[in-house]
Amino acid sequence: MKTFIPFSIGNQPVRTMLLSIALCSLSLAGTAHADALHDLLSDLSIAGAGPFSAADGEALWLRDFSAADGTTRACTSCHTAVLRQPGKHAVTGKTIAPMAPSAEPKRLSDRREMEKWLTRNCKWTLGRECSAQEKGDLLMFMKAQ
Amino acid sequence: MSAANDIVGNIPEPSLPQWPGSTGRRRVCPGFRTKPGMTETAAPNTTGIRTWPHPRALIPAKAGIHACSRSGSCKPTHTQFEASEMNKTIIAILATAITGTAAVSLIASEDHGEREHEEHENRRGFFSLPTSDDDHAMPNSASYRADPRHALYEAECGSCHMAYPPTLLPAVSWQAMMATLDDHFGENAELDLETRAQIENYLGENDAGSGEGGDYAVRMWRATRGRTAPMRITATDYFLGKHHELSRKMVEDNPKVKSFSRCEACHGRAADGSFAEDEVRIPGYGRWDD
Repeated sequence: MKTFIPFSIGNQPVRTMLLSIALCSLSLAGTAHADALHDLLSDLSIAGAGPFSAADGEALWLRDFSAADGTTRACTSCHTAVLRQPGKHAVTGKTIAPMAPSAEPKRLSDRREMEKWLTRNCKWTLGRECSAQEKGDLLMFMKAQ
Repeated sequence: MSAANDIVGNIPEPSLPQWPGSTGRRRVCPGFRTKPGMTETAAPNTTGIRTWPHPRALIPAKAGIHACSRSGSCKPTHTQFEASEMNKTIIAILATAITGTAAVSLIASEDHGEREHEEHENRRGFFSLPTSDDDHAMPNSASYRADPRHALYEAECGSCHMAYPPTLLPAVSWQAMMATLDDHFGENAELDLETRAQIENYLGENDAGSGEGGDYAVRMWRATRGRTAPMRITATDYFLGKHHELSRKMVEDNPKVKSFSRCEACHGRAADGSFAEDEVRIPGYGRWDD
């Protein structure tokens, strides 16, 4: 009796299968991303923060912070105050895609990306990690753009 | 601690960069290994500083490099090894013709398997004939771009600056770089542990000594050998020697360049790993010819 052993019947079926899996993942990605922001905000709430305010997020976005090296840093240093416009990296000069989801749909769609950049950029700009409240406020502000 | 913190967490500090021969190097960089057909001849090294010659640089066909004299003239290396590489290429092409479809090729290019890797090696061996006197031209395509981890590297490291070809620095430098991402030239560029490990392995396996980048990489590797992990490409003697004739007006004071770190401002194909002199166009100045 022949036994069906997955992934052992030559390369072609495996590759076809991989292609199908890849395509399925792509089609599912849209729905998964829509929840990414909601999930992150929920987790920030569970951490004790909230309710979140886009106005507070905007105030934080525009606030200047003094860095240890004597320079002044703000979110606007790289992203500008108009989130629908592209930004520019303060040091390397590389163009940064707009932060507003209305101008750049991939914004706020990937949880890992959101957490990575909130961590990195809060540390650079504020000199410390943002609190859960600050992160939520910033996300609400960005979402509204 | 919020959930966000848990994702990034505190990245444990890896041991100091070390070169094969010491056990620490292998532990930190498990993907770094001797490939089939290669011989590792380096003596055990306990100093933590990479020694010359690079074990992989000893393999002629793998490198696809020209043997270069100190005066700078380069000749292709012709070995039996290369001939057998060509035979394997022919077999690979025939096999592809029989079974290949566009879809299969597409998937194959993303196949992380060893077989694809070997085919890739064969292609490089076949097309590694010298095409130019310019030692910075790329006689073959920048093969690190075919590495399945290249897209990850480009996405993670190319957001803020050009994803510098890994062939520009020795592995020991990349390792030190990846260990200090929380202070990356004054910026915070932290990555989660798994992503960091993948990129570190990618950089280590495609470094200046890997023979992946053509002659400039070999020269960069020679120039930095024995040094303790140079971190700034633009501060290496090799880089400075190549750019010392440029004036401030052309680079730092040139609003379209601003910094030597922006390779792509003048080297249009920098992201492809090509730094050929005849491709240089300095904004506002045009071609460069020294």
